Amino acid sequence: MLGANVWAGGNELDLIARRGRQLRFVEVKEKRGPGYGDPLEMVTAEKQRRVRRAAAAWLAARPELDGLTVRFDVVAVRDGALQRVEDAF
Amino acid sequence: MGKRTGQKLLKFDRSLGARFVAGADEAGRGSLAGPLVVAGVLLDYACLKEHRVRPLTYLNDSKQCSEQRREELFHAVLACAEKVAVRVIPPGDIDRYGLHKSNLAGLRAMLHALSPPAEACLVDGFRLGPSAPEHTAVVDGDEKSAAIAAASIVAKVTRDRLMRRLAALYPAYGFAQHVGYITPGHSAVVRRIGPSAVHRLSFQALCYQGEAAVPV
Repeated sequence: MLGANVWAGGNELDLIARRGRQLRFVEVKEKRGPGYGDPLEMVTAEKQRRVRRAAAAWLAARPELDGLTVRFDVVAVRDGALQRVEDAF
Repeated sequence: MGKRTGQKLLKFDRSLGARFVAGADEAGRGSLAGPLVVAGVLLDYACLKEHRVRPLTYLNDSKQCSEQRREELFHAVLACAEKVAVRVIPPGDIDRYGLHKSNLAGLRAMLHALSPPAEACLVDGFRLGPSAPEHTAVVDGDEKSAAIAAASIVAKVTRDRLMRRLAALYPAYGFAQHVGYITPGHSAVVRRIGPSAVHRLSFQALCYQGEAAVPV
């Protein structure tokens, strides 16, 4: 875990984690109550863009992490249960 | 009328001191259906002066433009650019190789297509790794650099046009409205009738599990 609620490039990154040579930027979405709701639906194109910009800004300040690959995940939290979508955008 | 952002973006590229500046960008990364489109635009700053550069007055990042403005800028870029490269990466490739890998490989190919004669290569946001031509990742590049903004326009317009055609082939999904991105409406259709041949099946979308699936 490299960071949580990190502000970079004018936007917030919920979670930054590293596993080996891969950096994972995780967008966390909380959903309360019943009804259909795909975690992916909660992350609009605009939101994706903002997270990617924040990640780019965060990385730009850390040239030592240059060789790592990058992945964007979404984690949905609903009534205490976690659902993860990898490589969501 | 829109902001005349073009000058600022051209100034950024000119400040690099190179004659040939290449920019690359993509469209359709986070989309559930349809291709990923990458584009590269090479600008010759020895030629882009005075009246020749006027069509690019309103050049800006594609997402900040109206659809009509984007179409106008698409034509302007084709008129003003030294070279334009485009690649359409099909959903099958995204499923096979992964989104990020496909994206980086595509952007690398765009820069290679423009080098030579590109002297400065710019990409939006993330570096492309050592197998790309020497390049600079510009944070918020599609808002700062004319070459990157031009590439973002070409990628977006190409992709949107493709998605409108795919809407004719697969009318149930609403491709003309959301160009393949997941929305509650899009999700509902997939849940009901299943994905089309152009949906990215590697995406872990709940709607692929059909109506029987009960979400967490």
